[in-house]
Amino acid sequence: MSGQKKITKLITILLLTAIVLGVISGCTSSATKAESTNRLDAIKERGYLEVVMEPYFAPYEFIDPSKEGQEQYVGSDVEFAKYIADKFGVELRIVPLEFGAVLSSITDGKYDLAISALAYTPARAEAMNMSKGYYFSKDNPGYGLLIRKEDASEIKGPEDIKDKIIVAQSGSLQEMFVNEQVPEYKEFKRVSATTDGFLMVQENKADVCSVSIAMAQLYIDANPNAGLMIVENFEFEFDESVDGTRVGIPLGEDELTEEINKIVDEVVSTGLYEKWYMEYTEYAKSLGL
Amino acid sequence: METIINLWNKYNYVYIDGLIGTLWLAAITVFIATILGTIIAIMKLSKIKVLDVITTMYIEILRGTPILLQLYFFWLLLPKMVPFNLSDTACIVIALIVNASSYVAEVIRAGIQAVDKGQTEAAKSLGLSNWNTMRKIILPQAVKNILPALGNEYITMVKQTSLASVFFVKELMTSYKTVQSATFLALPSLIIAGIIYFVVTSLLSKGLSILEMRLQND
Repeated sequence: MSGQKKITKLITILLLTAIVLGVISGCTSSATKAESTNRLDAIKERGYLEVVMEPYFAPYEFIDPSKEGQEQYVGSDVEFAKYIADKFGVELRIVPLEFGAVLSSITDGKYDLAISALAYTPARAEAMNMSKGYYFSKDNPGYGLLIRKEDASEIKGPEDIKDKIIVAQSGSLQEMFVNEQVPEYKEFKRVSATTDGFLMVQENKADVCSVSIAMAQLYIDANPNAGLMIVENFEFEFDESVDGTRVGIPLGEDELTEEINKIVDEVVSTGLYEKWYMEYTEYAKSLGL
Repeated sequence: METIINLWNKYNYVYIDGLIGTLWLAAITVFIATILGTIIAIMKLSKIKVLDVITTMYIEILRGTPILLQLYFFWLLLPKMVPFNLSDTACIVIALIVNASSYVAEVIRAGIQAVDKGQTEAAKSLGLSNWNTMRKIILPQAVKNILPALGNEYITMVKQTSLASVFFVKELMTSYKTVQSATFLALPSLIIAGIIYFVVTSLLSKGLSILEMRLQND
């Protein structure tokens, strides 16, 4: 290609890029402007509530394969979402997304609420409004480390991870624990799905996985031959004042947050959420083999 | 091994639904991409310089970036750019179509250029316009060259649709994720999906070579 042709090509690329970026920024700014009216009113006006979640986290939210469409999403968080939609007098639409996208779509303001077993983290609280806690794991097992059985004597706590590879779900509380409470590691890998982390330890692609103990135990129970175990007598330190899963709400939507908090108070004081949690734990077990 | 059989017995319908979704997704994508690709190929072959530059840019951008990146782009931007509601699946299908069209355009261009120049000359000397030459003489003959390559594109697309599982589109990899998260059995669920993919692509490849033989005999 001659020198002149090369320059023409380069100019065309730059010009196209400029046009594309201009169109995109123009479109996105007009889109966000339209939604800056009070979201609660907007929801009631349009008649439906859009709730995002990652439906791969029993018993909070998961998929019943025998059902279709919206019906397939089940779990305690799903019941909670239905309850909120009923209170607002609108239809519920569940939007499944991978976990990273769940968080980013709320900070973007693309959807109304994120009800996906979201724990409180300071970083999240800066990027979105968080409701009061609606489910507390104080009485339930918290977060720990998953390892292969053969490494039981070697890995007893975060200090032993110095020369090991650790993995955690990207954007999760478990990832935050690694960043804050594991002093040294050989390598820190991230995955987008919880079970990918378990698989990595199983297949020697990683040595330790930062996990929600309840979730990990469900996996171990279903896969007795996987050779995995949870490190005994160890739990990540958890600031109890920020315990509790929350609803994620786009930043600045204070009226919506207030309404949600009222509903949270209701489901907590009547024990309704606890009931859903128990119900769906049983349901999840029935889906296994 | 036993777990795999039990898993299949309980959840086979999920995989079958997913497979149908995959085959359907691939079919729609390749079909529309062929139409789009033909237009692009013709634009590229035309004498108008600007069209050539634009289509070259189009093809190079689409082939020069990862498909997953393109899927994310379309999924994030498309709903903001259109005044009506666009489902996630629609965005992904459009992204796959656009991506496939860049490959198909090249296949069609090569197919068209492979048709003997003498055909065009003869058509012109008979007084046929450019458009009619293309439509009635060149394209029908190019089809024989293009069909096997399109068949290959379909088989490739069957595998590429697996990326749509990131967006929860109904297809085979999404079936794997659904079953896996309901049962906590990751490897067995994956193996079932893998076997299905392998069997289906093998059957399709076999069918394609039979088609190719038939076309050559014509």
